[in-house]
Amino acid sequence: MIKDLKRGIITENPILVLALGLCPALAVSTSLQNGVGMGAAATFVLVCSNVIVSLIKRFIPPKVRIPCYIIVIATFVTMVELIMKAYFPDLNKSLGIFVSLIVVNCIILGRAEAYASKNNVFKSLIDGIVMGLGFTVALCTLATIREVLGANKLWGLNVIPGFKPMTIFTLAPGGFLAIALVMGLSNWIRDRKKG
Amino acid sequence: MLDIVRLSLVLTIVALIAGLAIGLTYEQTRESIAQQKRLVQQEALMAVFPDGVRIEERHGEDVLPDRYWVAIMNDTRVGYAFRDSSQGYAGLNKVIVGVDPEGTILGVSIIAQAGTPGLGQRVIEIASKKYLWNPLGRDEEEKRPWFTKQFEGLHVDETITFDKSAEWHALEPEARERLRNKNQITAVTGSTISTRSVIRAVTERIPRYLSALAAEQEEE
Repeated sequence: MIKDLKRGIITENPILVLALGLCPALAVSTSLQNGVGMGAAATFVLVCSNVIVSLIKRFIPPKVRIPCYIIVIATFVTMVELIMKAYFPDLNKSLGIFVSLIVVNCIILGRAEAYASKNNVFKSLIDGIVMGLGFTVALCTLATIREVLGANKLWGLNVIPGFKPMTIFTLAPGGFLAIALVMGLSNWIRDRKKG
Repeated sequence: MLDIVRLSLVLTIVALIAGLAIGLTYEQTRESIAQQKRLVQQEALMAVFPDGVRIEERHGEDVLPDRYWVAIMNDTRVGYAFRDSSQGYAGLNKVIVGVDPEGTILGVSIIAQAGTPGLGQRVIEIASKKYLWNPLGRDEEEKRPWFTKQFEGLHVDETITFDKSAEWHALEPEARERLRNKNQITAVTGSTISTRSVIRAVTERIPRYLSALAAEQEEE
């Protein structure tokens, strides 16, 4: 279990190591609140789709597996969207359209194809949880950096009095910079550990 | 041939089950979603009108929209509210605007927005003056988004322009007053499209509605 956790968050972190799902990571990592919201929504979809894909893998002919996985994922995303609209209106108001982007989040399709379609239900469930956690952790790290530097805020609260925020970190270029820095740092730490 | 039949069958079954699951969720959440929408609209109406007015819903014809609201105080009409929308960054920005019969904005409420999180989305941001290490500190806590608050007191029948040099929530009262005299607001940093879109939603059709309503009043 702990080994799995380490795999999801550190050695096989979906964003920082596998470099999957960079599109939502860039779009939604502008504030910590959005990062947590998006991370939770993506984790929910990832866990559900991993379980279902692993359950139905025997009945799905290999030729149509991708459309089947997409249908499964899209179904869960639509459900998340409806549930969010009904019970978390504030989150829906700010994340809105970006939730539907989970459909094309390659982490989810990637895990369905690379893991859930080859492993049993329990292992797939664990994989969904740890990968979702890894995605959320990476997203929150990026969001923290970008929100503090780009808006001088964290969770909507001010951070450093008098500090003039660098708006570029809220914009897309800053997203690329932040992601590159965090990715580089995590690679450097891993290399040092190995060496 | 047989293969095609088998593949289609599998896909059909998967799609059917998926459709069923979505349908069930939709049924389950429909009431709550409708409820939320009503709530948002109700809160928006309360926010764009001054306290203590009676709000009546009306159904318009011709130029007037299907639905608009009249605020009545002591038997006189003190304001109108209209729903309008305009193309934002990735969809429609929807607003409810309260104006008095002369065209002065009483309040603007954004009920749906389509900006990027952290950028255009900040049209609904509530600016906090609190600091991270002192989140419980004393602070005249602002409950309304700063972006829409700056529309109050502006005129819909003149062009509303915007200034990109600073954001309203960081300005001193005198600077805010200067902007108001110029019928000007401040833009959300990095979000010219969303800023423009909200201005358009506020000013595009409402002057026409107001003159139609004024004509109607005179006939009576």
